[in-house]
Amino acid sequence: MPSKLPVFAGAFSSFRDEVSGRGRRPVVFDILSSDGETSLLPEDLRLVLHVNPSSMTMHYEKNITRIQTKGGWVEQHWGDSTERISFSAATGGFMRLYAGLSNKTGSSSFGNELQSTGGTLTAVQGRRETIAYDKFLDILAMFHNNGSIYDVNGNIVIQGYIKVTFDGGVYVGWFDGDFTVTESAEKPYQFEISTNFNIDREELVLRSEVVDTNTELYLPGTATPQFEPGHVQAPGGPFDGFLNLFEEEQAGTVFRGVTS
Amino acid sequence: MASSRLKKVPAAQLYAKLAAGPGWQREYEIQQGIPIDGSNASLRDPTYGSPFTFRIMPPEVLVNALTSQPDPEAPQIGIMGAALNESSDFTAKRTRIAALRATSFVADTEAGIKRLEALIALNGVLFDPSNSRTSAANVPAISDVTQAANVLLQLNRALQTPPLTLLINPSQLNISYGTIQNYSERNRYGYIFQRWGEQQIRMNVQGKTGAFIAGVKALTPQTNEIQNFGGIGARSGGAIPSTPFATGVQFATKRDSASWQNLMSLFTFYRNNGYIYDNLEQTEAHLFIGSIAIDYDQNTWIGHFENFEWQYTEQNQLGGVEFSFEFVVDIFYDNAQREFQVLPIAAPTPSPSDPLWQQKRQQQSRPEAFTVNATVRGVQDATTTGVTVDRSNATGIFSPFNT
Repeated sequence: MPSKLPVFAGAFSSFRDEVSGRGRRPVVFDILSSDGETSLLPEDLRLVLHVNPSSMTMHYEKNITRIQTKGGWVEQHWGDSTERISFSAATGGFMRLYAGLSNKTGSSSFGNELQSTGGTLTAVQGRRETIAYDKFLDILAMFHNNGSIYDVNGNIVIQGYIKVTFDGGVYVGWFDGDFTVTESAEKPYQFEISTNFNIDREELVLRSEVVDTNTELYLPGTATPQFEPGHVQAPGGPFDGFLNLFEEEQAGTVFRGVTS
Repeated sequence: MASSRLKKVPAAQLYAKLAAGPGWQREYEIQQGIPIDGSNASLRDPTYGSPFTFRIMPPEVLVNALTSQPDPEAPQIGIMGAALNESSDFTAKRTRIAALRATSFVADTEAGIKRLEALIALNGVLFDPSNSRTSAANVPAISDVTQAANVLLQLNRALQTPPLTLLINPSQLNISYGTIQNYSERNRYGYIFQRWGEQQIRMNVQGKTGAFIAGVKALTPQTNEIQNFGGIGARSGGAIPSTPFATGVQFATKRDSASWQNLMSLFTFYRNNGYIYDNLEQTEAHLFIGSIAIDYDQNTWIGHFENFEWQYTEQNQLGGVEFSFEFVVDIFYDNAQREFQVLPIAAPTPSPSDPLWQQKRQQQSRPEAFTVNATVRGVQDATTTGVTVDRSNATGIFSPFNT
């Protein structure tokens, strides 16, 4: 933490903003123990960024081996490959009260010299004492931690997880590969961050209208599935206007190049 | 947005029972609002539009075993057998799946499937030697009745799952055909051509969902309350009541929107990929491998998803989620019928100036009168079985029948 607290607030006041009714929905980072469930952070502490990532791309891959044989292609399906999220984020502007956006870096060693000689520290305060920079250091620290618990010698003794939560999606896994920080002249007063996150477990909370399987998958009052060949979709029913392939196939009318 | 374009979309939960891998869990909340599809439904009309549709194909080996039918597409020994067996017709596969539906292995009520679920729940996890015919020392993948019931349950769920049509067609469909050959080695006479066949077809698909839109059900005229939410909506004497949930076009309606639910249903298909999972032990050792079929442009591609991507970006806060996937094809069927005459195309949207559209409206009111197109120059085409030609009704609509 900087010695003097920044005055500006971040985009989020809490990781609970999603349920605050204020229309905010942060990406929340947590550290879990090796059981994959228990948070290692205090109950009221989770990490939210100064501003949400600018993009989160979900990558999923199947693990399939294909071999050409004299009898044709043989496929071997081995399940899911490693899955990951690619994060791109900006730290948000390094902004200070009375000074506005700042790229001034200062020098802590220079500051110590000033302090030892009775000087003032005012001159050395710059972007390091902004909330955006502070949050950047937080996420960098989480990348370094990555769910590991270390012993006094710095060896990993227990491996836990990082948990990312956003809008009905829970992704449990670890940061992977590089954590790249870019400071460029074209985009001053902030850093661009990119990193990857390996998904070990994914939980989605989806929404749906009510489905009564007894009536929507089966014709009411009968034991006939909705998609039983020969059944004509009722106008206004749940599948009216959608391709009922089973029905159409049975009638022989699908794929037949209707010309009217 | 014309209200006539709006169509009710299938509930997302219809795809909830598809099995998925061990690392993925999902649950469905009952949403309070209604998903709204803002796209033009007529563009995916089954007959006059261009639907892009996915469906689960059950494992061939299971279909053949449970129907006690030999696989008509299985490799044949001998030139004559192979030649007679060769078929690019999708009919045989459809017929066998229909035969499977008629067997006692497929439940014809939800209660039947529930009984299967109960059987699995009661028997618990492997391994129960009392109901197995194998020794405990040599446990195969399907080791007992519980696991067999698990296979049957997933097969039933796959057959029960309705096809999924994208609300908005992909923005780009890239189909790659590749050779396996070599023309780089040479001898004294020049280069030698070596050919080993073709790669499997790869489909690269990119698309974008619609906006995140959700709404509320109409007010009931008697109580001026939102249906199903008695007392929650303000009784404001004609004013639009506030709702306790997000509506309209905004990020907050993402999970309630038809566009997002459609994407997540597609993602569920990716996760399932036609597999019969070992979800008792939660392993990645799949019990059977079925496949996914894509139907588009009178073609059917049967194969598997290779990968899947979608992304949140700050530019698309109101929807328009970009997604892409790669699909590797095992078998490809071109189902288009031979045409004997090129006729004008019907407009997919209503147009009073389009005479074919007027015809379509008339025919929709008497659909039995329009089972034409199964004859070629008046001769019954044996390949288009199941279609009855009613020549008297067709007369006057198509000039070829007037001759």
